[in-house]
Amino acid sequence: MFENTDIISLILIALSFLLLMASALVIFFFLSRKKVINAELEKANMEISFQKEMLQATILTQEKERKRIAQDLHDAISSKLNIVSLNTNVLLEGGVEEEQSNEMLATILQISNTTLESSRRIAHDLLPPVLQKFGLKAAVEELTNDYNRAHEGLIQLSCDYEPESLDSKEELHVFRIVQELVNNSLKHGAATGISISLTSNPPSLSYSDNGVGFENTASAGKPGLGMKNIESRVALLGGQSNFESEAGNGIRFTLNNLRNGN
Amino acid sequence: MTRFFKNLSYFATIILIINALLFLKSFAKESKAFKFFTLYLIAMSLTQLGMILFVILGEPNIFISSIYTVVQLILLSLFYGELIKNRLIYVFAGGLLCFMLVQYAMDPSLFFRYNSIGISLSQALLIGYSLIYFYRSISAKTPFIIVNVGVFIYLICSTLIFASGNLQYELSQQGYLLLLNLNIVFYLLFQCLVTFEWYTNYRTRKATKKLV
Repeated sequence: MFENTDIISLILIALSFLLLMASALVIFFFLSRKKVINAELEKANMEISFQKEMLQATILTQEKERKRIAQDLHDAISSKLNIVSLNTNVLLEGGVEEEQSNEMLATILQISNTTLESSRRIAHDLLPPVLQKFGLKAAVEELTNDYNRAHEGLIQLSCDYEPESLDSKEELHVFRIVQELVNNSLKHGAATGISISLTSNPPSLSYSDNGVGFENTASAGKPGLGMKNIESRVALLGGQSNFESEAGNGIRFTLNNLRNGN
Repeated sequence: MTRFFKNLSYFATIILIINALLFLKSFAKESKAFKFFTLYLIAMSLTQLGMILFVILGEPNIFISSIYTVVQLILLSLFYGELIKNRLIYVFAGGLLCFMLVQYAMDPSLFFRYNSIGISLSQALLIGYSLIYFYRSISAKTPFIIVNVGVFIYLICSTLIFASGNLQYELSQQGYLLLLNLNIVFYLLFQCLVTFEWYTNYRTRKATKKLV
């Protein structure tokens, strides 16, 4: 038979042990919760900084575009109209020989025509009317034809996209992505062959070229404004994109799950 | 020394009653879990007062421990059922209640002794719920986490003390009193944590409540 004090001290030891374990568990709980919450906070901060970057890229793109439009307007329209106004002033003042005046009028007519053509081209570059009127398929076909007219067989298009598979806003995003990709391939990748495939069931886009690839470009390792622009459009579409590139092997870009964003 | 612990025990009872009143103040506006916990505090206050009343009358008060166990099991299971949102909690609690019912039916004299097995099992079940709730709270800010700490530590320590309850017939009066006094200390700690919970999260009802 145990002595009373033995039992009491045994119970006390067990009690202290239990208390110790319980406190350790509580401390463990609070420490791990702190860790988990910190990790989540970090994740949220990363997301916020990513969004900020996107926003910055959007603003930069906008500014760049404005600059380009301003330059286009200045070079192609303002300077030409200046000549027109100058010639018209000379004609108004009178005292010009008929032959000279006829020459001047011909110049005015020719400049007006080129200016008209330029303004049409600028407007067309900003928003292709064919996209609004006839949809994505026609717009991409037109884009392909435009490039193929200059370089025979540059772009191979396979398109079984059915009209209105995407709404007009989404079509604009996809079109801009294609535009940006082709621009990049020609400007940075020096590609001589591009293949674009557009399907509507499910809506997806795949793109590849035979250029120098991503790692060989001047902006190696750092996504440029154009790529960021594509990224934010993909995010707006709610789709999934995959970008592969090998040095000397061109690029491959795919865009899927477009309907998930709706 | 005995006098000190007796006063400490009264002090713990007073804090318990104050806690019950504090929680009762915002009873109508709060969640179901909050309501069950308030009911638990009120029921504990009543059992504590009953215990003291029987001591004053000089009657044996050990059957109150059975009432305490059953009431605690029911109300804390409802409380954790609301927090954890799993029906298994009610199933286990119901099973244990049936078991205890059979126990008392088979041996009614158990009512006048410490039901060590019943108390231990019911407290172990509640400790399990408390652990599950800890696990659930790791990745999110959840209500009643301070109360959960209190319940967890108090139930773990008091289970051993209550389980050795029937040793009072074997042990010296002084030895057993030491254990009971330790129980009072743990109970006081539990009640202080309950007050702390009320103070941090329910003192004022703000539009954006920050949970600790």
